[in-house]
Amino acid sequence: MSRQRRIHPWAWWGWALLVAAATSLTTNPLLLILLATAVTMVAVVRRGDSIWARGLWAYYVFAGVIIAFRLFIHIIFGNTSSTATVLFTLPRVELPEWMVGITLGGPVGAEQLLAATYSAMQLAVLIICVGAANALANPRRALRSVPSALYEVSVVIVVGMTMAPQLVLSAVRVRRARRLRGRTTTASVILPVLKDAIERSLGLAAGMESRGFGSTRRATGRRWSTVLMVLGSAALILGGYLLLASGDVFATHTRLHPAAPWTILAGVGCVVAGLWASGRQLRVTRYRPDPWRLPEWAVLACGLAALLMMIVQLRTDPGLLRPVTSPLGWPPLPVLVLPGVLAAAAPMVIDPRGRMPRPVVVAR
Amino acid sequence: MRHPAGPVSDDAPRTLTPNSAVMVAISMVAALGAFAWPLVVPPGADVQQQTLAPFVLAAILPLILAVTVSEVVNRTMDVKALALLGVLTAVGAVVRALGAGTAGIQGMFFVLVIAGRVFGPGFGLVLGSTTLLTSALLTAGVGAWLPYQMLASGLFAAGAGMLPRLRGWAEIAMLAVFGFVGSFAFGWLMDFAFWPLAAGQGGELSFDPDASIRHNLHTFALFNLATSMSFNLGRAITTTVLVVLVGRPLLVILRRAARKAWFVEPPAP
Repeated sequence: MSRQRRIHPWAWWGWALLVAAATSLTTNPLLLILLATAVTMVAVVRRGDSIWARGLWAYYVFAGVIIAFRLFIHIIFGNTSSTATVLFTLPRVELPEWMVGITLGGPVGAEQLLAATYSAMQLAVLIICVGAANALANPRRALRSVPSALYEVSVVIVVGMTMAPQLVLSAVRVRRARRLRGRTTTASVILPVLKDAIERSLGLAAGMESRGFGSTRRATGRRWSTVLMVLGSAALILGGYLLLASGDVFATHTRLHPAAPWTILAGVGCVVAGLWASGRQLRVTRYRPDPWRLPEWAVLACGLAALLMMIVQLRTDPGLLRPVTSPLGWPPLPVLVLPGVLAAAAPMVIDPRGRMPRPVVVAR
Repeated sequence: MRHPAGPVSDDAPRTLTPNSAVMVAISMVAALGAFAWPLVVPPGADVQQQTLAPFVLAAILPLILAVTVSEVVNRTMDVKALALLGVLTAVGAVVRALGAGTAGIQGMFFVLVIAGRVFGPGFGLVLGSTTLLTSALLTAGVGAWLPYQMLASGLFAAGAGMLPRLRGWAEIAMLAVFGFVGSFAFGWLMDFAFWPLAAGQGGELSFDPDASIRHNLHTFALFNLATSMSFNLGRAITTTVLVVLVGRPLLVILRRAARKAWFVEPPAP
């Protein structure tokens, strides 16, 4: 692995989620294509050499499947009896009585099909945003930077990720041995592999324990962390409910329940404080931690700029973000959002100079 | 695994400490809200909200999951339990990756049922979450659906840990039935939460915020029957067949590991 310093993995996640939030505000196909291009370019230019960096194509395939599935559902089940431009007409099938009110086929209107395509494209770009984050942020390094309350869980996941390829090798070995004896059933391969894995886990536990893993846990301040976490989770659930039950999430209408954002903020605050208090019980150190400096803030700011430009457009002229498809026409290009798209692509050139910091052990 | 009553007989599902029981209950309430959100959406909600709701919830759920899992792990697990959890996570992730290409041949739920049964609801909840997360990291499957999958499979395994105490073939039969029903429930919950997204708006099989709950459930049942019945059925049958064929030996292996792991009485917390 090269020693070149890379952007902090959580910064990439923050950037991608902010761009995704911006994406969720528009169904304008021109903007969607621009945003997808920006995100993909950043991912292709800045991804590392880890195995996850090659996963972006899988998200593209999935996005394509989503679009195809939505259009298929729309063509077969779409209710387009009142359409202006009929593209083609499928034979109508009347379904039996217990499927009340459902008919298959019928005329397929260009306007409705276009609207369905726009909204499916939005979903596809959201998926591509997540795929870009996945390609840019190495999960092994992201796991190293979790809060210490989640340290033990992150160890479990690292053990799982490390063990998985070994299990496959172990299965191949057992299968070969069984075949030489002339008898292979599924059970005769699965069970020895599992038995082997369980034995190995007990050995691993002994090794971890003898090196002092988890022996610095103190039992102080437990009650507070639990109270905070319970309160925080309850507030999050309540806030989520208020948000859903009150209409528009970004308050373009005035139906947003006034308490919803505050409840969610309070919930997040309580959860963070609870995790912090819980993490203080465990004293662990980090080897060569990923630094969070100016480039990381810059990457986050790029995502935020994209979202802000979208919100500005939403406040001034929301129509450009949701182009009408009836009558049919070329969608307009909201010029105001273009700087936001550029900002989303800007992390391409944000390059943290210098090398990885010297190996140091830092207390969490 | 730190247990309040010290080493216990190996057939007793491990009970949770009161604190972690509260957290598990909270995550269940959160799950209920997250999966049933189409029923909460008020009449007249616009298109944008229907698209956005699962993503907003997918941002909230990881926090609740983090809190629950950290609470259960920090309170009830020692190094041996963590190592076992790691290895079983790897097993589940590999099995899930193997079944990814085939429609519905999904053995992961078998591992979750048996492990949840042997190690109890708390262990099951964490195992379900870590298995899905690890598998997603290994196969580039991270997305808005991941928190939902983690929660649903965690509750599935936790449910297996809460089943009544039975032994012998009665236990296998119970686990097989649970596996069948649970696999279906998993598929229905996942599909229901993402149904308004998957089916789009305004179609015959689409979610309609203005319609009654009964009408929406009926539409969803038809949509689900048309699109993912084969996946759900395949998953349920695979789980049941594996429980019947390999369930007993795996129970024996895990119980033996449990007994070994509790060989030395842990120090009082």
